[in-house]
Amino acid sequence: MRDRTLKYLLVAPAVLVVAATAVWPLFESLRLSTYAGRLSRPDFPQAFVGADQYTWAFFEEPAFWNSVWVTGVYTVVTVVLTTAFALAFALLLAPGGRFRSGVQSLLILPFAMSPALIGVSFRFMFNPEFGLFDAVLTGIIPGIGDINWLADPVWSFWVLVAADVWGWIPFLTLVLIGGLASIPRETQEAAQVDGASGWRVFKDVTVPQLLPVLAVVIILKAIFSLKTFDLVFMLTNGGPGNATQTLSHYVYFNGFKYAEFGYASAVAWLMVIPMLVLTYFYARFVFDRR
Amino acid sequence: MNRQSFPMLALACVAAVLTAGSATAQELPYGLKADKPYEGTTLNILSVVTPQFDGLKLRDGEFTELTGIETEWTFIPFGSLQDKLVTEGIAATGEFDLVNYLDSWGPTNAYWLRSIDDLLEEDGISMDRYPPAFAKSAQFEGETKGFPLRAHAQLMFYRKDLIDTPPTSWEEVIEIGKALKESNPEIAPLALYYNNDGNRQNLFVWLNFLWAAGADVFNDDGTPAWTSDAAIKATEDYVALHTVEKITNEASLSFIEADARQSFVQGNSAMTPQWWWAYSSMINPEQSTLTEEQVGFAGMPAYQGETASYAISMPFSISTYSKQQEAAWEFLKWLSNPELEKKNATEREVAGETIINNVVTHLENLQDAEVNAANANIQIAAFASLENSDIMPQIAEWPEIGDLLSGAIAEAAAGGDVRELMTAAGDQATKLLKRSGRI
Repeated sequence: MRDRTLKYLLVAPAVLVVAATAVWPLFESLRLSTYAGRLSRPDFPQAFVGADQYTWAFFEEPAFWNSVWVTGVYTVVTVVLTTAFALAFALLLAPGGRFRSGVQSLLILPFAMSPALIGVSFRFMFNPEFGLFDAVLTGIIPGIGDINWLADPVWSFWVLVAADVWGWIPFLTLVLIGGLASIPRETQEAAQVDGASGWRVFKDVTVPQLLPVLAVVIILKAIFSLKTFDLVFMLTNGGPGNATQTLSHYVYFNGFKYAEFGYASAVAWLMVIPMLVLTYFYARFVFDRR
Repeated sequence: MNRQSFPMLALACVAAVLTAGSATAQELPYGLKADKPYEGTTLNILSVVTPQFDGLKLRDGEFTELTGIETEWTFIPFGSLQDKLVTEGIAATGEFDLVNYLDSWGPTNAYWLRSIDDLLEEDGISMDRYPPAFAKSAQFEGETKGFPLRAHAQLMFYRKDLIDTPPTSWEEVIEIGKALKESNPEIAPLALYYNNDGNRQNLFVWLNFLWAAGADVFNDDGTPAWTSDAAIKATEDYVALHTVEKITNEASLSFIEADARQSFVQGNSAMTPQWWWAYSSMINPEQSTLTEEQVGFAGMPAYQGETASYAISMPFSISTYSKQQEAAWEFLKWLSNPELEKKNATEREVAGETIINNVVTHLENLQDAEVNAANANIQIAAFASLENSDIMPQIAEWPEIGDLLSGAIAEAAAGGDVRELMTAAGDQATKLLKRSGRI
């Protein structure tokens, strides 16, 4: 057997699996998004409706725009905060950095937890009656105990952000530690010898060289933030009202709770667009070696 | 064969025929078919996790003995049951012969749940054996889809050691609440659940107010009715328990039903409206800090002089995808028989396992002295609560409409304008109902 044939044969199973589990569902959901796909009726999917599901989302459904807004703000805030904290921790834990051994093992703990578990834990911890945070924070800042964290639209959003940032920092820190390790130390040492301050070394020498890794971290986190579901589902379930309803949660509710598969498919496809853009940039940063 | 042996043989034949005849005519209990026509069949049952159904499962050896039909139960936690049900409906594989679901999910899945009216008639079973609200919860568009095997009535639970006489009206709840705030400031008078997280639970008590005020969720033409003046007033009064009267636990905004129950059993709240099944956990020392002497229950309080309560059920239905629907019907007959239900609510141990269950759904069992004696008379209280009760609207669009309402009420309780929020929910609901062709 020629090498070329063998190569394709070896790749074929993986391609088939991806085609069956990702490509086909993707196109099938695109088809469904053009039908009145109500699961509550036996003739599923029902009539072809063209772009009706999309126009309904854009012009008739405030909940859709609410979830777009929540997802957008959530993505920006979590990406910024997670990256900033992860970078700070990475600098502390980089080879030669202080506190390395002790903190590194502590940091790995949140990463080992599933987002669903983090959601449940935070839900309990922010319970206004017997939650740990409430008890601790009340002791530190009197009056803060009056805040009903998960019942307030603004606070519940920030609790969600806190849970996500807490869960993601370790992974991104580890990635950035790898990135920092790949930067030649001579460049930093040369700048120091030339009299550059620590901040100048970081800003003008370290960050520019870390930029490709930083870009990957930001894009990766943005993709995960955009499709956040499990944490929202377990922590706030989109509430109070729909103050923390992300797009994924909105899609899930429309598909599984409201049996509107056609509409849920359409909104899922609207989510695909930013995902494709981010994936394109991610692929460029990771695979483009030119 | 000689002449002498012939009469003996004839006699033996007659005896054999007579014996066989009597066997065929043998009546099996619960209307089950004789001669085990479905012997060797295995039924797959999808059920919610609950001690009540654990008790039934532990007893189903009797069914297998009578019919030769084996059973395989799959228990799913309530939180995941709806997803499993939807998946079963889409997959249409007939993996489960019988399914258990919340009544408000029924309309969405009704197209693949078998109508059993013909079977009921054939076997002489009447849905009149259940309270009307329970019976209605297993019916959709005039067709009976199953039996309400697990169903609940609302009761007001209160601390007997803190409250001498339970409230009979919401005015009295407020009165008692304010007095309690003075006498026992460390305990919240009332644990409610305004959060919209979890199957529209903040509508449970709201419906009491709404119906008692003579208002309703939908008008006869299917349009939203919760924007009428009477409905808005009822909603304002429901929300005012928290925002104006301030007799609720401060955490009620983020509470779902289970949180309010937890607050009560932890001794942090003095009253809470809950489903009747909660009683056993409230006096269970492993789950509660309260004792039987401390926990009392009464019917739901009246609003504007009228008491109306909300009822809920989890029916069992036969899947139309099942290839063993006849055998499944045999099982449903056995599973829903009132004698079994009574045993399950009075016997505290089955096959060496402790089962504590107070749920019965047949009218005869709700009023049964033995059942009541075994459960502190909670069934009689539930029976009274069910006298004027109803269920949530049985339309396929209800989950979405109900969530709109639930969100509006959560926001109103957090300080939003009731009329504005309810009107906005009504407008959006009208659009949804028009889109689906309902109106």
